[in-house]
Amino acid sequence: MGTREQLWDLKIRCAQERCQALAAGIAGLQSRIQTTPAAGTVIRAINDAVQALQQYLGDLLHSPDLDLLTETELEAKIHFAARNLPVLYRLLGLVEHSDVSAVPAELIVPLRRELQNLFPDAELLVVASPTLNYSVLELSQYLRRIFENLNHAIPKYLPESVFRASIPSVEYDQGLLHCILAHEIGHPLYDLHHIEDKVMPISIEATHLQEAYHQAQREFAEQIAPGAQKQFPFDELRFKRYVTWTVNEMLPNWVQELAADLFGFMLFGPAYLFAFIHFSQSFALLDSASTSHPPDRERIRAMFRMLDRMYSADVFSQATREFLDLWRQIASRENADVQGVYEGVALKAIRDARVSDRLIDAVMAAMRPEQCYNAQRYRDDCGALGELIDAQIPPAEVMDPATGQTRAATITGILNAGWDRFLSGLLRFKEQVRDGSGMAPFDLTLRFNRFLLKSMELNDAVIAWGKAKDDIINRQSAGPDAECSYSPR
Amino acid sequence: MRNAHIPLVDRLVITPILEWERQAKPGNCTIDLRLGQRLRVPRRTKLDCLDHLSDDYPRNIGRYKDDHHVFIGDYFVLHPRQFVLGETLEWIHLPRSLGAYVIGRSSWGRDGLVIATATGVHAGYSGVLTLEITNLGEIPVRLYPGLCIAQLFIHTVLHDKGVKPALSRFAGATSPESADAAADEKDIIKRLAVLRGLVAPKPSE
Repeated sequence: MGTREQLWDLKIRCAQERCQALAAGIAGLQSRIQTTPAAGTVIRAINDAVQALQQYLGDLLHSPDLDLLTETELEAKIHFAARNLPVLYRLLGLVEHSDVSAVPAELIVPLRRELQNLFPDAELLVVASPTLNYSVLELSQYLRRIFENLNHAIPKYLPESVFRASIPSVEYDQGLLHCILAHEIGHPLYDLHHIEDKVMPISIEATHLQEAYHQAQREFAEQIAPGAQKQFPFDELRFKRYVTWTVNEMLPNWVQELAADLFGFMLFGPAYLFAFIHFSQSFALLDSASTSHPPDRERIRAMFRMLDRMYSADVFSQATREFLDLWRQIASRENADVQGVYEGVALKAIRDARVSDRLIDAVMAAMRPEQCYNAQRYRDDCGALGELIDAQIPPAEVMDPATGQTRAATITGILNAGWDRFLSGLLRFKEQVRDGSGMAPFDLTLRFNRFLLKSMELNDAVIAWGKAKDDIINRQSAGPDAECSYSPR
Repeated sequence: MRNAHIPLVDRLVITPILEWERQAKPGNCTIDLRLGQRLRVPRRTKLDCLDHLSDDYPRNIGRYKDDHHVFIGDYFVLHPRQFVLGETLEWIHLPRSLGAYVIGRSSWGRDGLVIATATGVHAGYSGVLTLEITNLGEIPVRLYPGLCIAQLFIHTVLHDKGVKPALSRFAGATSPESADAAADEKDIIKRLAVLRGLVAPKPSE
């Protein structure tokens, strides 16, 4: 065997070994109990892609045409398939820690239902990640691309979208904080409703750009040649273009983040705002910005603009009102300390009231009323569900005083009533817990969060049971052929 | 609502009752309870024994069990002589005037399944009930969360006027819980053992 043959033989066999390793990794994950079907679907698709890749490589190894190819062409042909390996590895890693021992099934099952109200063909999987962060990523697109690369049919079972959201693993049972996931659902909504087209372009004041340009010029010159600014050769036009380009690149990212916040607020109501403040302010600076994210103060300010449009002050309890008043004040202060020249210009552009209004209008117009949480629901939930929480009874369902019939609560109702009581210091809830008054605040918070997760679990049981019952009735009325059979695995 | 004037904490609440007619049959003095979705399975490989007098007991008890979340619709296989902690699907909130007993249902009992060994539920308890489930039969049994597995007998409790009963240590349980059974009397028994010469005193004594 010549050098050329040895090389391609080695390349193909090594790629095949990677495939086998992946198959073994997949087998390990398949035995776990996943919180939603999406993880199983993605694992199945990865498995099918690995098999397709193995098939492709096997065919290549025995292909009679290889002798006709140059060494470079041959390598390119192998690489065309093998380049999918790192993506498959990454995808498999992305679905790890999505099983019931890693993430709270109590929250994720109802969250999936909420997501499917917005995206009927989408699936959700949530994973615990070792970072203090929440994020969302659509996985289906990568799998589709791999199947296309391998000239393989895209499996019919693969949903249109599979959203993979991550939550911090250490705090996986902090149900109240997980309202942040509403923001992550906001990202695909932003794309779906083309919010960028409705808000952009945002005009940037020429004078602000000028200031930024001079500032950046000074900083740049100081860094490169301290004490010798005048001698520094400077391509003014190019630098001006760079300043404008940087700000222009930043603005769409910021608009997307602000819109995702507003969608989160529309979906989860004030609970999202409360969660955002408690989560972000535990570790981030209020006026810190980056190319991807605007300062938190600006994000909070935008949410307050929406809150003031949708909620009157009398909806909130005394303690919640005090919390909101404090944060409204903080949010309305000037972002004096925003770091970075370009961030400063972007902030001035985005703080324009017309831009905020355009953004809020676009987000509100994108949502149907039944998809949104609103003031009336907030008032009802804090009343009926809050009363149950005070008595340490899970607010999974509420009884209609007139008929005595119960109806299932909603996940957003549970979270908003939970936040309302949490902001009030859990005074009554504490009385119902053994040694509650002497409990450390964190322990009480943890206990309360677990109680809310339990409420969501019971709430899901009520809803799922009702759906199954309705389904049986529908099938019975459709005739004997529609009867379903059940055979456990 | 008939009892609207009574504060919630003073009412009997069982939530959710998925099938009222099936779980609270007219004329019966019990309410059927369903198996919940969390199970705690003893892990036998790391501990030689459970010693409630050991100082490490509270720490060890967490290591000694694996938590399983079994969705309604899925099942858990309980093998002969296997013991697991389960929970009721329902959250039980008893006012201070009511106590209860949880016991198995005969249909499961005939398959060899014991549902609960510590069956008393104290007045004022609020939480899911932990079930101590054992398969005493000869063949494995599938446990399906959502199926009625236990029944609750509720009775009135008489208190001396003005006495507020203490809350159970398990009050507020959101999952099957274990506890240090000797927590209140550990020190006395240890001291007694030293005084009787059964164990050597610590060097500091």
